[in-house]
Amino acid sequence: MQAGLPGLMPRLWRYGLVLSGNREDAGDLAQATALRALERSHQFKAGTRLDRWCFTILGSIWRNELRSRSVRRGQGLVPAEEADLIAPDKSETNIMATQVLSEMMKLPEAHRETMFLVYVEGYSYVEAAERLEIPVGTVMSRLSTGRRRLNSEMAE
Amino acid sequence: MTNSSFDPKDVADEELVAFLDGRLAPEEAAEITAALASDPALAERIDALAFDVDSLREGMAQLLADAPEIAIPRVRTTRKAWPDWRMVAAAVSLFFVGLGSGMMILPAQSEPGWHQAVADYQVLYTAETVTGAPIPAQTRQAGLDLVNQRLGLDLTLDALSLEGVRFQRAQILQFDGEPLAQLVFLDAANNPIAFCLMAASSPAQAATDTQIKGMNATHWKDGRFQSIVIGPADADLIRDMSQELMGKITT
Repeated sequence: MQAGLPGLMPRLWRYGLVLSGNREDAGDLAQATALRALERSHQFKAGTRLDRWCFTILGSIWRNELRSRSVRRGQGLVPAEEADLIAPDKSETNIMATQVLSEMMKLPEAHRETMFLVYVEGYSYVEAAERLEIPVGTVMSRLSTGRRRLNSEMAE
Repeated sequence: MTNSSFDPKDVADEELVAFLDGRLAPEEAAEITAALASDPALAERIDALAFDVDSLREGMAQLLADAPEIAIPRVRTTRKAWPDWRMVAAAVSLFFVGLGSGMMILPAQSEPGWHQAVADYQVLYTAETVTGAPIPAQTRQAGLDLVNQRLGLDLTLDALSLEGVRFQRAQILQFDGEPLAQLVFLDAANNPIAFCLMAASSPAQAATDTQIKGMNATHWKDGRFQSIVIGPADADLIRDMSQELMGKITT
């Protein structure tokens, strides 16, 4: 676990960014997740995936602790255009990539989280359903809504 | 082969998503593929669900590359770590007793020893930690600027191009509330090596080679800083790096 955690930090931060929409909360989330993972390392089952285990912890910290704080500060609701997702001077970044990313961040949290888990982190529908504690059908309908929204936004 | 009872209108959007994602059973996917050829309405529905997954992944990969350094918090007293910790504390206080000459014996628990803290941190590093997400040159420079500013140094990227290692990044950590600079290098075999230093007004002390947590280390004091070079790398390399770095920070 100790060997695996440092390499996971950027991915935890990114997941935190997808959920919170701002870099500061993302950092807090990643750090809180690492701390809890270390504290609970005895609960980690050898042979299972550390990244997935940490993602579950992160999701639960977000839902139970940080989301309310973030929303209270008004930061969780920052429109994605204003959220500094990609550093503005990254001129080498593909414009298309920046645009899709920013459109995805405008989706409701439930949709962008589901899209992120399935399309970026490679969860199967069933794994995403378990992780989010929702039926598989709901995962698929969130993907369908998310895809449709991205499709029409990108067409504009 | 199309099933005669198959009607594209009955296909839910969710199913089309699974089709686009390549997660439908082969026979179901074949039905949709077959229907697509002759059913423009179905093709339109599919088009409306399409989006550029590759661009999303590319943007997301860029985020990883831009992720800030996030220090992993140290867990203080888990039950398992405790005996180990006490041994370390005892060893550290012995170390301080050994230094003798006017130095007070420090309370074992409040002074875990910064070498140990650095070592605890360093053992968590793998080559992947450092190479996993490439560090933009800008971030590297920004880290170095911060180190220079917090420790009153004047290090340049040129000064850090040392024999046999590649400088990767600089960051400020803290130990007991004091800024601790960490400069990470990789050797030819991608072993991560850290050069750490923090302010210390205690008298100069010659470089000493040692082993901490199975890693080679060289530490010294120059009257202004206390420094250590540590990593799971060759002892000679660590010593040579130390000699070179010593010259860079005593200006």
